[in-house]
Amino acid sequence: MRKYAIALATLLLTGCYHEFHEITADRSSVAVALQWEQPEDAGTFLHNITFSADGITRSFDTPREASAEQLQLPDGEYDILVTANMTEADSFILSGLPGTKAGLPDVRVSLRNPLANPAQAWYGISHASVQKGKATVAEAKLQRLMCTLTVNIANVPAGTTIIHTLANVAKEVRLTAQDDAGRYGVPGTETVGKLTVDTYPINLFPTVSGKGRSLLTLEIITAAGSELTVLCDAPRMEVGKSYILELDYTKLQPYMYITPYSISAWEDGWTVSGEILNSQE
Amino acid sequence: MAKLFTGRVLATLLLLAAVAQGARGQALAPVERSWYVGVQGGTSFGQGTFRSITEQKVHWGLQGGLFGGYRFNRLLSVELGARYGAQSQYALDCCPYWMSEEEVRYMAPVLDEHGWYYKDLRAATQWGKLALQANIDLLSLLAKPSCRWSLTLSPQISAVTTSTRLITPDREIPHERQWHLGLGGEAGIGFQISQSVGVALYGSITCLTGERFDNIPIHAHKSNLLWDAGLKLTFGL
Repeated sequence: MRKYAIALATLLLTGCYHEFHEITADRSSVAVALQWEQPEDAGTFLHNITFSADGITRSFDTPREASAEQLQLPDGEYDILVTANMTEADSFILSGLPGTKAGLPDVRVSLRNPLANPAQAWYGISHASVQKGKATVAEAKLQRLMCTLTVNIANVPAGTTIIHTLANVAKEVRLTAQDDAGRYGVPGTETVGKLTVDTYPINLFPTVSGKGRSLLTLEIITAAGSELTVLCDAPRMEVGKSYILELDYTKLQPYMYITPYSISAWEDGWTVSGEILNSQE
Repeated sequence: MAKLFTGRVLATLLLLAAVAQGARGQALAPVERSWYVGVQGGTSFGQGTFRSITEQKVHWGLQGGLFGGYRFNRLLSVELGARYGAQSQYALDCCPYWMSEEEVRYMAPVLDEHGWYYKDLRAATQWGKLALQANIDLLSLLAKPSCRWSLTLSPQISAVTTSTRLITPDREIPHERQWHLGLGGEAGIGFQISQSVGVALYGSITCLTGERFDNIPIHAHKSNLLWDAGLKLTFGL
Protein backbone atom coordinates (compact mmCIF):
# COMPACT_ATOMS: atom_id res chain seq x y z
CA MET A 1 0.00 0.00 0.00
CA ARG A 2 2.78 2.36 1.00
CA LYS A 3 4.65 1.86 -2.28
CA TYR A 4 1.48 2.54 -4.27
CA ALA A 5 0.96 5.76 -2.31
CA ILE A 6 4.54 6.84 -3.00
CA ALA A 7 4.19 5.94 -6.67
CA LEU A 8 0.95 7.91 -6.92
CA ALA A 9 2.48 10.92 -5.19
CA THR A 10 5.51 10.77 -7.48
CA LEU A 11 3.28 10.54 -10.53
CA LEU A 12 1.22 13.50 -9.38
CA LEU A 13 4.14 15.68 -8.50
CA THR A 14 6.63 14.92 -11.25
CA GLY A 15 4.42 13.36 -13.89
CA CYS A 16 4.47 14.69 -17.43
CA TYR A 17 1.11 15.66 -18.82
CA HIS A 18 1.80 15.18 -22.48
CA GLU A 19 0.06 16.16 -25.61
CA PHE A 20 3.28 15.58 -27.43
CA HIS A 21 6.74 15.24 -26.07
CA GLU A 22 9.81 14.61 -28.16
CA ILE A 23 11.57 12.79 -25.37
CA THR A 24 9.93 9.49 -24.59
CA ALA A 25 11.35 6.22 -23.38
CA ASP A 26 10.99 4.47 -26.71
CA ARG A 27 12.30 7.16 -29.03
CA SER A 28 15.71 8.58 -29.65
CA SER A 29 16.60 11.82 -31.29
CA VAL A 30 19.38 14.24 -31.96
CA ALA A 31 19.39 17.99 -32.40
CA VAL A 32 22.30 19.79 -34.00
CA ALA A 33 23.88 22.86 -32.42
CA LEU A 34 25.62 24.87 -35.12
CA GLN A 35 28.78 26.75 -34.29
CA TRP A 36 31.20 28.78 -36.36
CA GLU A 37 34.68 27.42 -36.71
CA GLN A 38 35.89 30.92 -37.49
CA PRO A 39 34.40 33.42 -35.02
CA GLU A 40 34.60 36.21 -37.59
CA ASP A 41 31.89 34.43 -39.57
CA ALA A 42 29.39 35.19 -36.78
CA GLY A 43 26.36 37.02 -38.03
CA THR A 44 26.65 35.76 -41.59
CA PHE A 45 23.27 35.05 -43.16
CA LEU A 46 22.75 31.32 -43.52
CA HIS A 47 20.12 29.69 -45.66
CA ASN A 48 19.52 26.24 -47.05
CA ILE A 49 20.95 24.43 -44.04
CA THR A 50 20.89 20.65 -44.42
CA PHE A 51 21.47 17.83 -41.95
CA SER A 52 22.22 14.40 -43.43
CA ALA A 53 22.56 11.12 -41.56
CA ASP A 54 21.40 7.54 -41.84
CA GLY A 55 20.08 8.01 -45.36
CA ILE A 56 17.97 11.02 -44.37
CA THR A 57 18.49 14.62 -45.42
CA ARG A 58 16.51 17.47 -43.91
CA SER A 59 16.68 21.07 -45.05
CA PHE A 60 15.97 24.27 -43.18
CA ASP A 61 15.74 27.88 -44.28
CA THR A 62 17.21 29.49 -41.16
CA PRO A 63 19.36 28.58 -38.16
CA ARG A 64 16.30 28.98 -35.93
CA GLU A 65 14.40 26.41 -37.97
CA ALA A 66 17.38 24.10 -37.80
CA SER A 67 17.60 24.41 -34.01
CA ALA A 68 13.88 23.83 -33.57
CA GLU A 69 13.99 20.35 -35.07
CA GLN A 70 15.39 16.98 -34.14
CA LEU A 71 16.42 14.05 -36.28
CA GLN A 72 14.62 10.90 -35.16
CA LEU A 73 17.20 8.15 -35.42
CA PRO A 74 17.52 4.63 -34.05
CA ASP A 75 20.07 4.09 -31.29
CA GLY A 76 23.62 4.16 -32.51
CA GLU A 77 26.64 6.20 -33.46
CA TYR A 78 26.19 8.71 -36.25
CA ASP A 79 28.22 11.19 -38.23
CA ILE A 80 25.92 13.98 -39.30
CA LEU A 81 26.88 16.05 -42.33
CA VAL A 82 25.83 19.68 -42.16
CA THR A 83 25.93 21.98 -45.16
CA ALA A 84 24.88 25.60 -45.43
CA ASN A 85 24.45 27.98 -48.35
CA MET A 86 25.31 25.29 -50.93
CA THR A 87 22.46 25.98 -53.32
CA GLU A 88 22.17 25.24 -57.01
CA ALA A 89 21.35 28.90 -57.53
CA ASP A 90 24.85 29.66 -56.29
CA SER A 91 26.28 27.11 -58.75
CA PHE A 92 26.90 24.39 -56.14
CA ILE A 93 26.24 20.78 -57.09
CA LEU A 94 26.09 18.24 -54.27
CA SER A 95 26.37 14.56 -55.03
CA GLY A 96 26.17 11.50 -52.81
CA LEU A 97 23.14 12.53 -50.75
CA PRO A 98 21.06 11.38 -49.01
CA GLY A 99 23.30 8.32 -48.85
CA THR A 100 22.39 5.12 -47.11
CA LYS A 101 22.10 3.77 -43.60
CA ALA A 102 25.56 2.28 -43.97
CA GLY A 103 27.28 5.36 -42.58
CA LEU A 104 28.57 8.67 -43.80
CA PRO A 105 28.29 8.69 -47.60
CA ASP A 106 30.97 10.04 -49.94
CA VAL A 107 29.49 13.49 -50.46
CA ARG A 108 31.13 15.70 -53.04
CA VAL A 109 30.51 19.29 -53.94
CA SER A 110 31.43 20.92 -57.21
CA LEU A 111 30.64 24.17 -58.99
CA ARG A 112 28.63 24.25 -62.19
CA ASN A 113 30.77 27.21 -63.17
CA PRO A 114 34.18 27.17 -61.45
CA LEU A 115 34.33 30.95 -61.85
CA ALA A 116 30.84 31.56 -60.48
CA ASN A 117 32.44 33.25 -57.49
CA PRO A 118 29.66 32.23 -55.13
CA ALA A 119 29.31 33.62 -51.66
CA GLN A 120 31.00 31.55 -48.98
CA ALA A 121 29.43 28.19 -48.11
CA TRP A 122 29.94 26.05 -45.01
CA TYR A 123 29.95 22.41 -44.02
CA GLY A 124 30.71 20.35 -40.95
CA ILE A 125 30.60 16.86 -39.58
CA SER A 126 29.17 16.21 -36.14
CA HIS A 127 29.42 12.94 -34.31
CA ALA A 128 26.44 11.90 -32.18
CA SER A 129 25.84 8.98 -29.83
CA VAL A 130 22.10 8.50 -29.99
CA GLN A 131 20.52 6.61 -27.10
CA LYS A 132 16.96 5.46 -26.67
CA GLY A 133 14.87 7.73 -24.49
CA LYS A 134 17.52 10.41 -24.48
CA ALA A 135 17.72 13.68 -26.38
CA THR A 136 21.18 14.26 -27.76
CA VAL A 137 22.58 17.60 -28.84
CA ALA A 138 25.43 17.26 -31.30
CA GLU A 139 27.70 20.22 -31.93
CA ALA A 140 28.67 20.91 -35.52
CA LYS A 141 31.41 23.39 -36.32
CA LEU A 142 30.78 25.11 -39.63
CA GLN A 143 33.93 25.15 -41.74
CA ARG A 144 34.37 27.44 -44.70
CA LEU A 145 34.37 25.64 -48.01
CA MET A 146 35.63 28.20 -50.49
CA CYS A 147 39.12 29.62 -50.76
CA THR A 148 39.30 33.34 -51.28
CA LEU A 149 42.08 34.65 -53.48
CA THR A 150 43.07 38.29 -53.89
CA VAL A 151 45.84 39.46 -56.20
CA ASN A 152 46.84 43.11 -56.16
CA ILE A 153 49.43 44.47 -58.59
CA ALA A 154 50.70 47.95 -57.83
CA ASN A 155 52.18 50.46 -60.25
CA VAL A 156 50.60 49.05 -63.40
CA PRO A 157 51.13 51.55 -66.22
CA ALA A 158 48.09 52.96 -67.92
CA GLY A 159 47.02 51.03 -70.98
CA THR A 160 48.53 47.75 -69.74
CA THR A 161 46.39 44.64 -69.92
CA ILE A 162 47.03 41.72 -67.54
CA ILE A 163 45.27 38.40 -68.01
CA HIS A 164 45.27 36.19 -64.88
CA THR A 165 45.16 32.45 -65.45
CA LEU A 166 44.98 30.05 -62.54
CA ALA A 167 45.82 26.35 -62.76
CA ASN A 168 45.52 23.38 -60.40
CA VAL A 169 42.12 24.35 -59.01
CA ALA A 170 40.17 21.29 -57.85
CA LYS A 171 36.98 20.33 -59.64
CA GLU A 172 35.33 19.13 -56.43
CA VAL A 173 35.73 18.84 -52.68
CA ARG A 174 34.95 15.61 -50.85
CA LEU A 175 33.15 16.90 -47.77
CA THR A 176 33.09 13.62 -45.86
CA ALA A 177 36.67 12.58 -46.55
CA GLN A 178 39.37 13.32 -43.98
CA ASP A 179 42.89 14.53 -44.61
CA ASP A 180 45.94 13.17 -42.81
CA ALA A 181 45.21 15.40 -39.81
CA GLY A 182 41.66 14.06 -39.55
CA ARG A 183 40.06 17.23 -40.83
CA TYR A 184 37.00 16.78 -43.02
CA GLY A 185 37.02 18.27 -46.50
CA VAL A 186 39.55 17.03 -49.02
CA PRO A 187 39.98 18.46 -52.52
CA GLY A 188 39.47 16.02 -55.36
CA THR A 189 42.30 14.99 -57.68
CA GLU A 190 40.77 16.32 -60.88
CA THR A 191 41.27 19.94 -61.93
CA VAL A 192 38.85 22.20 -63.72
CA GLY A 193 41.53 23.24 -66.18
CA LYS A 194 42.89 26.73 -66.50
CA LEU A 195 40.69 29.49 -65.16
CA THR A 196 40.90 33.04 -66.39
CA VAL A 197 40.19 35.26 -63.44
CA ASP A 198 39.09 38.82 -64.06
CA THR A 199 37.96 39.92 -60.64
CA TYR A 200 39.35 39.82 -57.11
CA PRO A 201 38.74 38.76 -54.46
CA ILE A 202 37.31 35.59 -55.89
CA ASN A 203 35.95 32.52 -54.14
CA LEU A 204 37.40 29.38 -55.66
CA PHE A 205 37.83 25.74 -54.90
CA PRO A 206 41.18 24.73 -53.37
CA THR A 207 44.18 23.31 -55.11
CA VAL A 208 43.75 19.70 -56.24
CA SER A 209 45.05 16.90 -54.08
CA GLY A 210 48.39 15.62 -55.30
CA LYS A 211 49.66 18.99 -56.48
CA GLY A 212 52.01 20.85 -54.22
CA ARG A 213 51.58 24.31 -55.72
CA SER A 214 49.05 26.71 -57.13
CA LEU A 215 50.04 28.25 -60.44
CA LEU A 216 49.05 31.77 -61.45
CA THR A 217 50.10 32.97 -64.88
CA LEU A 218 50.05 36.68 -65.72
CA GLU A 219 50.01 37.48 -69.45
CA ILE A 220 50.96 41.14 -69.75
CA ILE A 221 50.32 43.21 -72.84
CA THR A 222 51.81 46.64 -72.57
CA ALA A 223 50.32 49.78 -74.06
CA ALA A 224 52.98 49.56 -76.76
CA GLY A 225 51.82 46.03 -77.63
CA SER A 226 54.73 44.01 -76.25
CA GLU A 227 53.93 40.81 -74.38
CA LEU A 228 55.38 39.31 -71.22
CA THR A 229 54.40 36.20 -69.34
CA VAL A 230 54.91 35.90 -65.58
CA LEU A 231 54.47 32.61 -63.75
CA CYS A 232 53.70 32.91 -60.05
CA ASP A 233 54.50 29.58 -58.42
CA ALA A 234 52.43 29.86 -55.25
CA PRO A 235 51.65 27.59 -52.31
CA ARG A 236 48.62 25.34 -52.30
CA MET A 237 45.23 26.85 -51.57
CA GLU A 238 43.56 24.86 -48.83
CA VAL A 239 39.87 24.43 -48.14
CA GLY A 240 38.31 27.48 -46.51
CA LYS A 241 41.41 29.67 -46.34
CA SER A 242 42.04 33.14 -47.75
CA TYR A 243 45.12 34.19 -49.67
CA ILE A 244 46.35 37.58 -50.71
CA LEU A 245 49.20 38.21 -53.15
CA GLU A 246 50.66 41.70 -53.36
CA LEU A 247 52.87 42.33 -56.41
CA ASP A 248 54.70 45.34 -57.77
CA TYR A 249 54.53 45.62 -61.55
CA THR A 250 58.01 47.11 -61.67
CA LYS A 251 59.46 44.03 -59.96
CA LEU A 252 57.74 41.35 -61.99
CA GLN A 253 59.96 38.52 -63.19
CA PRO A 254 59.15 35.77 -65.70
CA TYR A 255 59.16 33.28 -62.86
CA MET A 256 58.43 34.12 -59.28
CA TYR A 257 58.44 31.70 -56.40
CA ILE A 258 55.85 32.67 -53.84
CA THR A 259 56.08 31.79 -50.17
CA PRO A 260 53.38 32.24 -47.54
CA TYR A 261 53.31 34.22 -44.34
CA SER A 262 50.51 34.02 -41.86
CA ILE A 263 48.13 36.93 -41.41
CA SER A 264 45.69 35.00 -39.25
CA ALA A 265 44.77 31.38 -38.66
CA TRP A 266 42.64 31.44 -41.79
CA GLU A 267 44.44 33.97 -43.96
CA ASP A 268 47.87 33.80 -45.54
CA GLY A 269 49.76 36.49 -47.31
CA TRP A 270 51.83 35.46 -50.29
CA THR A 271 55.11 37.12 -51.01
CA VAL A 272 57.78 36.76 -53.64
CA SER A 273 60.80 35.00 -52.28
CA GLY A 274 62.95 35.35 -55.38
CA GLU A 275 63.47 33.96 -58.81
CA ILE A 276 64.26 30.30 -59.22
CA LEU A 277 65.66 29.58 -62.63
CA ASN A 278 64.97 25.87 -62.80
CA SER A 279 61.45 25.79 -61.48
CA GLN A 280 59.64 22.61 -60.63
CA GLU A 281 55.87 22.52 -60.43
CA MET B 1 15.87 22.15 4.18
CA ALA B 2 14.22 18.76 3.65
CA LYS B 3 15.59 17.41 6.89
CA LEU B 4 14.53 20.55 8.71
CA PHE B 5 11.00 20.29 7.38
CA THR B 6 10.74 16.56 8.13
CA GLY B 7 12.05 17.20 11.62
CA ARG B 8 9.46 19.88 12.24
CA VAL B 9 6.65 17.66 10.99
CA LEU B 10 7.79 14.84 13.26
CA ALA B 11 8.08 17.21 16.21
CA THR B 12 4.57 18.45 15.51
CA LEU B 13 3.19 14.93 15.34
CA LEU B 14 4.92 14.06 18.62
CA LEU B 15 3.46 17.19 20.17
CA LEU B 16 0.03 16.26 18.86
CA ALA B 17 0.38 12.75 20.25
CA ALA B 18 1.47 14.07 23.64
CA VAL B 19 -1.37 16.55 23.71
CA ALA B 20 -3.80 13.86 22.64
CA GLN B 21 -2.55 11.60 25.42
CA GLY B 22 -2.91 14.41 27.92
CA ALA B 23 -6.33 15.36 26.67
CA ARG B 24 -7.70 11.83 26.78
CA GLY B 25 -10.68 11.55 29.05
CA GLN B 26 -11.37 15.27 29.11
CA ALA B 27 -14.66 15.71 27.30
CA LEU B 28 -15.17 18.81 25.17
CA ALA B 29 -18.40 20.69 25.00
CA PRO B 30 -20.37 20.15 21.77
CA VAL B 31 -19.35 22.40 18.88
CA GLU B 32 -21.52 25.47 18.59
CA ARG B 33 -21.83 28.09 15.91
CA SER B 34 -18.76 30.21 16.37
CA TRP B 35 -16.08 32.32 14.73
CA TYR B 36 -12.45 31.29 14.66
CA VAL B 37 -9.11 32.64 13.46
CA GLY B 38 -5.78 31.02 12.87
CA VAL B 39 -2.27 31.01 11.46
CA GLN B 40 -0.76 28.49 9.14
CA GLY B 41 2.59 27.85 7.52
CA GLY B 42 4.75 25.26 5.86
CA THR B 43 6.19 24.47 2.49
CA SER B 44 5.11 25.11 -1.08
CA PHE B 45 5.84 23.70 -4.51
CA GLY B 46 5.18 24.93 -8.03
CA GLN B 47 4.32 22.79 -11.00
CA GLY B 48 4.32 24.34 -14.44
CA THR B 49 6.63 23.44 -17.29
CA PHE B 50 9.30 23.79 -14.63
CA ARG B 51 8.68 22.16 -11.26
CA SER B 52 9.81 22.28 -7.67
CA ILE B 53 9.82 18.50 -7.48
CA THR B 54 11.97 17.05 -10.23
CA GLU B 55 13.39 13.63 -10.85
CA GLN B 56 16.63 14.81 -9.31
CA LYS B 57 15.59 16.73 -6.23
CA VAL B 58 12.81 18.19 -4.11
CA HIS B 59 13.14 21.96 -3.90
CA TRP B 60 11.24 23.06 -0.82
CA GLY B 61 9.52 26.42 -0.75
CA LEU B 62 8.06 28.35 2.15
CA GLN B 63 4.58 29.70 2.71
CA GLY B 64 2.51 31.10 5.53
CA GLY B 65 -0.68 33.01 6.20
CA LEU B 66 -3.66 33.94 8.29
CA PHE B 67 -7.22 32.77 8.12
CA GLY B 68 -10.56 33.21 9.80
CA GLY B 69 -13.86 31.45 9.50
CA TYR B 70 -17.26 30.64 10.79
CA ARG B 71 -18.19 27.19 12.04
CA PHE B 72 -21.81 26.20 11.54
CA ASN B 73 -21.46 22.86 13.22
CA ARG B 74 -18.99 20.04 13.59
CA LEU B 75 -19.44 19.07 9.92
CA LEU B 76 -19.21 22.39 8.16
CA SER B 77 -17.35 25.65 8.36
CA VAL B 78 -16.41 28.33 5.83
CA GLU B 79 -13.10 30.06 5.87
CA LEU B 80 -11.35 33.00 4.26
CA GLY B 81 -7.58 33.00 4.23
CA ALA B 82 -4.60 34.85 2.84
CA ARG B 83 -1.32 33.09 2.12
CA TYR B 84 2.03 34.19 0.81
CA GLY B 85 4.64 31.79 -0.48
CA ALA B 86 7.80 31.46 -2.52
CA GLN B 87 9.52 28.60 -4.24
CA SER B 88 11.67 27.80 -7.24
CA GLN B 89 10.96 25.57 -10.21
CA TYR B 90 13.46 23.68 -12.37
CA ALA B 91 13.40 21.70 -15.62
CA LEU B 92 12.49 18.04 -15.72
CA ASP B 93 14.84 15.55 -17.34
CA CYS B 94 12.42 15.15 -20.24
CA CYS B 95 12.94 18.78 -21.26
CA PRO B 96 16.55 19.08 -22.41
CA TYR B 97 15.70 22.19 -24.37
CA TRP B 98 17.39 25.52 -24.94
CA MET B 99 15.77 28.91 -24.57
CA SER B 100 16.81 31.95 -26.56
CA GLU B 101 17.06 35.40 -25.03
CA GLU B 102 13.71 36.12 -26.67
CA GLU B 103 12.38 33.23 -24.54
CA VAL B 104 11.64 30.89 -27.40
CA ARG B 105 12.22 27.16 -26.91
CA TYR B 106 14.57 25.29 -29.23
CA MET B 107 15.97 21.78 -29.35
CA ALA B 108 19.52 23.06 -29.62
CA PRO B 109 21.29 26.41 -29.29
CA VAL B 110 20.63 28.76 -32.19
CA LEU B 111 23.62 29.95 -34.17
CA ASP B 112 24.53 33.58 -33.38
CA GLU B 113 21.94 33.85 -30.61
CA HIS B 114 22.40 34.03 -26.87
CA GLY B 115 20.42 31.73 -24.65
CA TRP B 116 20.55 29.02 -22.04
CA TYR B 117 19.85 25.34 -21.66
CA TYR B 118 16.76 24.66 -19.55
CA LYS B 119 18.89 22.74 -17.08
CA ASP B 120 20.74 25.96 -16.25
CA LEU B 121 17.60 27.98 -15.54
CA ARG B 122 15.59 28.52 -12.38
CA ALA B 123 12.12 30.04 -12.19
CA ALA B 124 11.84 31.78 -8.81
CA THR B 125 8.20 32.45 -7.96
CA GLN B 126 6.55 34.49 -5.23
CA TRP B 127 2.82 34.16 -4.88
CA GLY B 128 -0.07 35.39 -2.83
CA LYS B 129 -3.47 33.79 -2.50
CA LEU B 130 -6.78 34.99 -1.10
CA ALA B 131 -8.92 31.89 -0.74
CA LEU B 132 -12.45 31.06 0.23
CA GLN B 133 -13.06 27.48 1.26
CA ALA B 134 -15.68 25.26 2.81
CA ASN B 135 -14.36 22.78 5.37
CA ILE B 136 -16.18 19.47 5.58
CA ASP B 137 -15.15 17.25 8.47
CA LEU B 138 -15.83 13.77 7.13
CA LEU B 139 -14.81 12.13 10.39
CA SER B 140 -17.67 13.89 12.18
CA LEU B 141 -20.06 11.72 10.16
CA LEU B 142 -18.56 8.57 11.63
CA ALA B 143 -16.99 9.43 14.98
CA LYS B 144 -18.59 10.20 18.31
CA PRO B 145 -19.33 13.88 19.00
CA SER B 146 -16.67 13.84 21.68
CA CYS B 147 -13.92 12.81 19.25
CA ARG B 148 -11.16 15.39 19.12
CA TRP B 149 -9.87 14.33 15.69
CA SER B 150 -11.05 15.66 12.38
CA LEU B 151 -10.54 14.65 8.77
CA THR B 152 -11.35 17.63 6.63
CA LEU B 153 -11.81 18.08 2.90
CA SER B 154 -12.06 21.66 1.73
CA PRO B 155 -12.99 22.72 -1.80
CA GLN B 156 -11.44 26.09 -2.42
CA ILE B 157 -11.73 29.03 -4.81
CA SER B 158 -9.08 31.71 -4.77
CA ALA B 159 -7.59 34.77 -6.35
CA VAL B 160 -3.89 34.14 -6.88
CA THR B 161 -1.14 36.49 -7.91
CA THR B 162 2.24 35.20 -9.03
CA SER B 163 5.49 36.91 -9.84
CA THR B 164 8.31 34.92 -11.39
CA ARG B 165 11.89 35.84 -12.09
CA LEU B 166 13.88 33.68 -14.45
CA ILE B 167 17.36 33.19 -13.04
CA THR B 168 19.92 32.47 -15.77
CA PRO B 169 23.65 31.88 -15.33
CA ASP B 170 24.36 35.46 -16.38
CA ARG B 171 21.35 37.54 -15.41
CA GLU B 172 17.85 37.70 -13.99
CA ILE B 173 14.84 38.13 -16.24
CA PRO B 174 11.84 39.60 -14.42
CA HIS B 175 8.33 38.92 -15.66
CA GLU B 176 5.16 40.86 -15.12
CA ARG B 177 2.95 39.97 -12.20
CA GLN B 178 0.12 37.65 -13.16
CA TRP B 179 -3.35 37.21 -11.73
CA HIS B 180 -5.13 33.88 -11.77
CA LEU B 181 -8.36 32.37 -10.68
CA GLY B 182 -7.43 29.44 -8.48
CA LEU B 183 -9.52 26.32 -8.16
CA GLY B 184 -8.52 23.53 -5.86
CA GLY B 185 -8.84 22.13 -2.45
CA GLU B 186 -7.29 21.20 0.81
CA ALA B 187 -7.20 18.07 2.91
CA GLY B 188 -6.23 18.01 6.54
CA ILE B 189 -6.01 15.93 9.68
CA GLY B 190 -6.75 17.97 12.79
CA PHE B 191 -6.85 17.60 16.52
CA GLN B 192 -8.75 19.79 18.96
CA ILE B 193 -6.33 20.41 21.80
CA SER B 194 -8.78 22.31 23.95
CA GLN B 195 -12.19 23.86 23.63
CA SER B 196 -10.74 26.79 21.72
CA VAL B 197 -7.41 25.59 20.26
CA GLY B 198 -6.94 23.13 17.44
CA VAL B 199 -4.07 22.08 15.21
CA ALA B 200 -4.08 20.42 11.81
CA LEU B 201 -1.69 19.11 9.23
CA TYR B 202 -2.86 19.93 5.75
CA GLY B 203 -2.00 19.71 2.08
CA SER B 204 -3.46 21.93 -0.60
CA ILE B 205 -3.53 22.12 -4.37
CA THR B 206 -4.39 25.19 -6.40
CA CYS B 207 -4.98 24.87 -10.13
CA LEU B 208 -4.28 28.20 -11.78
CA THR B 209 -6.21 29.45 -14.75
CA GLY B 210 -4.70 31.86 -17.27
CA GLU B 211 -1.07 32.13 -18.18
CA ARG B 212 1.56 29.66 -17.05
CA PHE B 213 2.95 31.09 -13.83
CA ASP B 214 6.52 29.90 -14.42
CA ASN B 215 6.81 31.91 -17.67
CA ILE B 216 8.66 29.07 -19.39
CA PRO B 217 7.66 28.59 -23.06
CA ILE B 218 4.62 26.34 -23.14
CA HIS B 219 5.38 22.92 -24.56
CA ALA B 220 4.19 19.42 -23.75
CA HIS B 221 3.51 19.96 -20.06
CA LYS B 222 0.08 21.28 -19.27
CA SER B 223 0.04 21.73 -15.52
CA ASN B 224 -0.17 25.13 -13.87
CA LEU B 225 -0.38 24.28 -10.19
CA LEU B 226 0.69 25.41 -6.76
CA TRP B 227 0.97 22.91 -3.95
CA ASP B 228 1.37 23.78 -0.32
CA ALA B 229 1.40 21.84 2.90
CA GLY B 230 1.98 22.61 6.55
CA LEU B 231 0.45 23.18 9.92
CA LYS B 232 -2.64 25.18 10.88
CA LEU B 233 -3.25 26.49 14.35
CA THR B 234 -6.85 27.51 15.02
CA PHE B 235 -8.25 29.63 17.86
CA GLY B 236 -11.94 29.71 18.61
CA LEU B 237 -13.48 33.10 19.46
